[in-house]
Amino acid sequence: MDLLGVDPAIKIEDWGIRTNLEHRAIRDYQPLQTGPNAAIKDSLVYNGCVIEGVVEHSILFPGVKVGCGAVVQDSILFFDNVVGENVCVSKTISDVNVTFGEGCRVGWPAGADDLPTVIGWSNVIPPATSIGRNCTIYPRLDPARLTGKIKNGEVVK
Amino acid sequence: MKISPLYHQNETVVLLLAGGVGSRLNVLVQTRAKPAVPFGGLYRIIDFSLSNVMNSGLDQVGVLTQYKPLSLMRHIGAGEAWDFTGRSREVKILPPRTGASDSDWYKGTADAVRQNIDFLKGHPSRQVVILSGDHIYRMDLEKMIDCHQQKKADVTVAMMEVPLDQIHQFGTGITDDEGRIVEWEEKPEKPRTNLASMGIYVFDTEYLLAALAHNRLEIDFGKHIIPRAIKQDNVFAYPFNGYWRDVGTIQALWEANMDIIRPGSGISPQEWGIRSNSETDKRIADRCPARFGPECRVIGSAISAGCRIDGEVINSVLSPGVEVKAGASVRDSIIFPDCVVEQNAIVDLAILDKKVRVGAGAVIGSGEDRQTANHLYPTHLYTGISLIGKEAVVGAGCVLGRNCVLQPLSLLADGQIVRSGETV
Repeated sequence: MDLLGVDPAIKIEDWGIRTNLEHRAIRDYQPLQTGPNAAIKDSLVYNGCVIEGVVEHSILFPGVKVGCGAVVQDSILFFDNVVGENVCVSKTISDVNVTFGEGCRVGWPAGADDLPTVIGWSNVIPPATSIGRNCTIYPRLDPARLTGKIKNGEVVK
Repeated sequence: MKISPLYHQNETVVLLLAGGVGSRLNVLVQTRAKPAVPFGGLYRIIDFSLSNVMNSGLDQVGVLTQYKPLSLMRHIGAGEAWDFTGRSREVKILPPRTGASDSDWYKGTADAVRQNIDFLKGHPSRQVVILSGDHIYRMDLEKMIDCHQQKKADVTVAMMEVPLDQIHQFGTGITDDEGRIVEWEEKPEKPRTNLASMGIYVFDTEYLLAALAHNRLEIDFGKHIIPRAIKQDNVFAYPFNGYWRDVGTIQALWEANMDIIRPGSGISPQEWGIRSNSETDKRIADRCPARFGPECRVIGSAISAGCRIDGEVINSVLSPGVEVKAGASVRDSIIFPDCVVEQNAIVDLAILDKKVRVGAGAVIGSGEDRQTANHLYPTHLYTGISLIGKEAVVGAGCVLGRNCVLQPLSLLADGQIVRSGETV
């Protein structure tokens, strides 16, 4: 989050940091696209993203899709996350290739110790799942284990 | 001829024609060839043809250039971006050569190929694909070559249906039931068909060499070589359905860019596997993610990496490194790399070439007078689009009307007024 804000502590534009653009074919993504109802505030978003919903105070890696009516706030979404329609993602770090099914709520509600929720790579979170804050979801789980309600602080292995 | 095992014969050689002047793109082609004009934020027009060639598995490419080729040559480089480098792969720039008897410039499409016969002879092949470097489309050329071989054609011409009111801009063909072209009319005033040539040809190599040797006054494929081939030999049409645009005019270039951000328009560079050379131009590829400020508003737009948006961007295509400062508004516009739109400035229906600076509170595209065409270039700018040349500076508080042209490097002092249709 130090990358964000009006006067960020990490001035990424000035530091001259490079990455390997061959990795995950970063080079070949097209410019990011924003739909008619999109709203992006105080965020870093890379090429290849398609934003139809709301993105606030977040960092989106290449190829992230945010559907209509979805809200992503205070979150970091790695490569190729797909946030379905009407999903709410708050204070969550999500590794690559995670899909949030329609109407999910992740990182809600705000909890006592208020640490971020972490989602491991290549998970498919079924529609309407509710995952609280400060949860840990291990990578590549059977989607059946991620249905219903996962309470604040729970770990799913 | 017996081919020794050490002698590598390529099935197909590609010649990409990138030498047209493209003068209708006005200030955008003052310092670059038309195929090198930026498109869709991250690309240049020629990237579509080059990527089609790459994605069709073809790897022997000659690019025929002549007009202001430097930026094009820099962009193509050694062809790494399209995997054209390696011992058996090649992209070669073919500029016009001054000969003892010929004058140097290419006189037409067929003349350009004729002047590069040595390239064709040096790369023996079964067929030659000839393409234009200034179209936006995706086509699997391998399928067209298959069709060419199945029909045992001497020449195959890619053709698509276009609206009848546009057909006068194209070569047109009438086909029989088997797809053989039986009649040809170049740019007809009274159309008898809606089948238009896309300027994409597959020739049997032997046939092409013979056709070019026939008569040196035959300088154009559409006007000379193809009509004669239809009369005498086997010419077939290869039907194409899909997105294809000639972006040779400001209006067409603007519309095709808007297609990038219009859902369902049928164009998707990323899905099409279009690549660009992102290493030239100050290492565009190494730019940071686009940064969106706390008060920004970005709707229906395409934004490239390295942009910084604190104002409003609506229905626009932004290349890398564009800054839109707080209170500024960019609408229905195409902004090339590294432009700056200062606080409270408005850019409405304009194309800004690279590194343009729009001063605080300035307005480009003021008023609703879209009818007054540009006085100097009435056929270039007549729908309200204004063109701002490379590295021009629009001073604070300037007001430009519509259909205006600002020459590259021009400097408008603060508060200057440019009326609709004027050129500075």
